[in-house]
Amino acid sequence: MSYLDIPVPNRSEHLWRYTSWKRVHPTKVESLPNIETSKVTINGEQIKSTTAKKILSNDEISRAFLTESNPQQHIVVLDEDMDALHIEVSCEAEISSCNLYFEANSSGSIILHITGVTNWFGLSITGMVQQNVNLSFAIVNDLSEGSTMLRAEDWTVARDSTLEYGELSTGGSRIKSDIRTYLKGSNATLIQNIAVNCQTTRVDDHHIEIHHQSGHSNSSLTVKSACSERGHAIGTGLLSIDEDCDKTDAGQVFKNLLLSPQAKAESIPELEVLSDDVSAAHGAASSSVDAEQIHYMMARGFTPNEAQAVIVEGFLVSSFAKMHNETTRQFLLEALSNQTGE
Amino acid sequence: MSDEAINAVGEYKYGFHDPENATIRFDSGLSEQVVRDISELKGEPEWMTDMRVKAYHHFIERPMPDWGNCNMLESIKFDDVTYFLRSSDKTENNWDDVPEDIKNTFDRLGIPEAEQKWLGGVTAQYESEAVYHSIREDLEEQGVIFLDMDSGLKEHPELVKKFFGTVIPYGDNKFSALNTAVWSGGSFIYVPKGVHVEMPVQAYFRINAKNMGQFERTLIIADEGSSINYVEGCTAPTYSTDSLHSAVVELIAMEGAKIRYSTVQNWSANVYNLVTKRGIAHKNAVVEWVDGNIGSKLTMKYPSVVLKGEGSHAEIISVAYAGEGQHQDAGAKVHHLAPNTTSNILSKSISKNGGRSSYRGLLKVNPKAHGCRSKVVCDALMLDADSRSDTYPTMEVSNSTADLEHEASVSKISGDQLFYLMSRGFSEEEAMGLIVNGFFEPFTRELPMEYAVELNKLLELEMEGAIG
Repeated sequence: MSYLDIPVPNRSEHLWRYTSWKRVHPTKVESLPNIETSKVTINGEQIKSTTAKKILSNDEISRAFLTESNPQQHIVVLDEDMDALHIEVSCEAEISSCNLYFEANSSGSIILHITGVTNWFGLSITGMVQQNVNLSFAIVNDLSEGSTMLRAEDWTVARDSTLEYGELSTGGSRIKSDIRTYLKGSNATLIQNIAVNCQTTRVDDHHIEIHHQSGHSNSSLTVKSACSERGHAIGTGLLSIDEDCDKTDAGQVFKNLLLSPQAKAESIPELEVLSDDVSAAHGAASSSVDAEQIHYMMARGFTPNEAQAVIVEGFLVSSFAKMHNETTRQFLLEALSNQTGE
Repeated sequence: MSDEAINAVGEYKYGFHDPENATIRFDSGLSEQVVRDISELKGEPEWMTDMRVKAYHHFIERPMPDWGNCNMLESIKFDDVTYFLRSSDKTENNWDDVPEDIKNTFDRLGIPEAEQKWLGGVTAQYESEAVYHSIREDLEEQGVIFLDMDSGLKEHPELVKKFFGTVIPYGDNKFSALNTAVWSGGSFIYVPKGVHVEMPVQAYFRINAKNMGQFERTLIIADEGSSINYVEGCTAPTYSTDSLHSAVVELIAMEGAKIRYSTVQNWSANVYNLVTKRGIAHKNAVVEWVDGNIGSKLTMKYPSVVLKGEGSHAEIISVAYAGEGQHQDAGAKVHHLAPNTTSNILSKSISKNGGRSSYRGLLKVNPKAHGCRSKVVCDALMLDADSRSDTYPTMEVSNSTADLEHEASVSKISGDQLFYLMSRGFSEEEAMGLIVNGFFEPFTRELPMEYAVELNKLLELEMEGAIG
C-alpha cells in the first residue's frame, strides 16, 4: 500500500495515542518528500546504499513513509569471520533518513550509533536472524537536542536463534519508535532491554510488539524510563502468542521513574494469548526516587542532585546488566556513562 | 457435586421463560417518538424528556466504538429490539400482589426467600419496570430512600435532578446515550448522613421476552459518613435471538461514606451486556465494585471510580468466565484526581471452550494527585487451546509522587496442583472445579454468603465437561 493511500491514523489506535502522526512527519502529512540518505559507515568505512528490496511490510504508515520517501537501503550482512560490526549513522542534513537491512548468518554483534545535528531523522530497520545464530544488537540514539526521530524496526528470529537487543535512548527531543519482533521458529528467543532518559522536554514514545508465532519460543522485555523536568516517556507494548504456540515463555516489564512534578509516563503493556499451555506475564510500575535512598547518599556527601543522578544511572544501568555479549554491553554502558556524566 | 447439579450439566439453569403477558409493549425499533412516548407514559418532568431526546440524538450520531469486539458490536440489530415492555401495572410491595407467573419466576430464582433471610430491601425488575419493591421498616424510619428509579423521579424529583447524569453524562459513550434515552427501572437510593445500612439491599433484573432491551438506571447517593452494600443479580431466558442489556449505574459517595456494589451477572448466552458503571468518591470516601461476569454473549463493562476527594479509596474486584461463544471484555478504571488517594484492582478470568476473556483497564493519575498509590493484578486461566485471553491495561501518570504497580499473568491449570488433588481421591474434573473455585475465591469471599454459594455452584456447572 502506498503512503498516500494510507489514512492518517486515529489517536484511538494505541500506537498513535500519545504521539500523533502529524508530530513525527517531517513536513505535512499529505506530502511525501524526497528525503536524502544519511551517511553510514561500518567499522570506519563508508558504505553505499542500494535500491530497497528487503522490506518486511509497508502497510503501516511509518514503514510506508520511510521506504517511499527514501528508496535507498543499506544492506549489512553478518557472516562468519565477522565478530562485531560497528555502524555509525551521521545525520547532518536538516532532514535525512536511513533504511537498513541486517542479515545475521553467523553469531556476533552489531552496534548502531546514531549521531548528528538535525531537525528530523527517519530510520527503518529490517532484521533477519537466521537459524542457530545468536545476534547481539545495540542501538544508541545520540541525536542533537531539538531533533525528531521516526523509527520503525521489523525483526525476524528463526528457530534455535537468539536476538539480544539493547537500546539506550537519550538523544533528540521527540522520538517515535515502533519495534516489532517475530519469533518464527521453535526455541527462537528475544531478550530486549531498553533504557530511556527523558530530560528537559524530551518525549520518547516506544511501541514494542513481540509476536510469538511458534511454540517453545521465549521473550523477555524490560523497558526502564527515567523522566525529569518535563520529560515524558511512553511505552506501549503488544505481546501476542498465536494459536498452537504451546510452551511459549514470555514476560514484559515497564518501569518508570518520575523525578519531577512535571514529568509524565504512560504504559500500556498489552497481552493477547491464544494458546493455553504458555507462561505469559507482564508488569508495569511507576514511582519516584525513594527518599531513603537519597538520604543515604546525602549522608555520604552527595548533593541531592548528585544523589539523584547516581540513582538514575543505577536504574538505567541495570537494564543492561544481564546482556551476555560483552561488546554490546560495554558499548551501552559507556554510552550511558557519557550521557549521564555530561 | 449434587445430583441436581449433575442433571443440569450443559444447561443454563435460568433459561426458562414465562408466556408474555405484557400490559404495554412498544413496537420494536427506536425513534425520537419512542423516546418521547416512554417519557410521556411515565409522566416525567420536562427536563427529563429533554435529556432523553438529546441523548437519543447523541446515540444516533455517535459511531460504534472502534475497539473491543467490533464484529459482535456491529451484529447488534437495534431495530429488532423492544425498547419498552410493561408487565405489571404497578410496583407491588407484597409478593402476593405480584402477577402469578412473574411471582413464580422470582420464586424459582429464590428472591422472596432471600429477602426474608438476609436482605434489607429488594427491587425486582421484570422487563422494563420494577414489579416488586420493599424496604425494611427500620431503614425507612432512618430516612433511607430505596425506590425503583421511576418512583424515585416521581417522589424525589429535586434530588434526582441534582444528581442524575452527573457521574455518567449521556455523552460519555454510545451506550450511556442509549440508556439515557430509553432508561426504565433500576434503583434510586439515598442514605442519609451517618446511617449505616447493615444488611445488603438487592436488585434483581430479569428479562423474559424475546428481543427485549433492558435499560435500567441506578443512582446511589451515600451522604456523609454513611454506608450501603448493594447487590444485583441478573438472568434471562435462552432464545435463538439476541437481547440487549445496557444499564447505567452512578454512585456518589460523599465525605467519609462507603458504597459497595456487588454484581453477579448471569445473563443467558444470547444477551449483549453493555453497561457503564462509575462512582465518585469524595474526601475519605470508599467506593467498591465487586463484579462477577458469568453469562452473556458479549459483556463490555469497566466499573470505574473517580477519586475526587483527598484520601478516598477505590476497590475493584472483577471476575469473568468466558465459555463457548462468549466474550467477556471486562475491566476497571480508576482516576486519581486528589492527593493521597489509593486504589486496588484485582481481575481474574477463565476462558474455556473457545471463550475469550479480556481485561481492559485504565489507571490515571492527575498532576495534583500527590502521594497516591495503586495496585493492579490481573490473572487469567486458560483451560484449553481454543480459548483466548487478552490484557489491555493503560497507566497514565502525571505526578512524580505516585506509586503504581501493575502485574498480569496468563497460564493454564498447573499439572502439579491437579496431580496433588487427584492423588487424594478427587477425579480430574472435581480437582479442576476445586482449583477454579479457589482461583475465584478473592471474589466470592467478598460476596454475601448466599451469593457466594450460588456462584460456586454455577462455576461447578460451567466446569462440567471441561475434561477431554
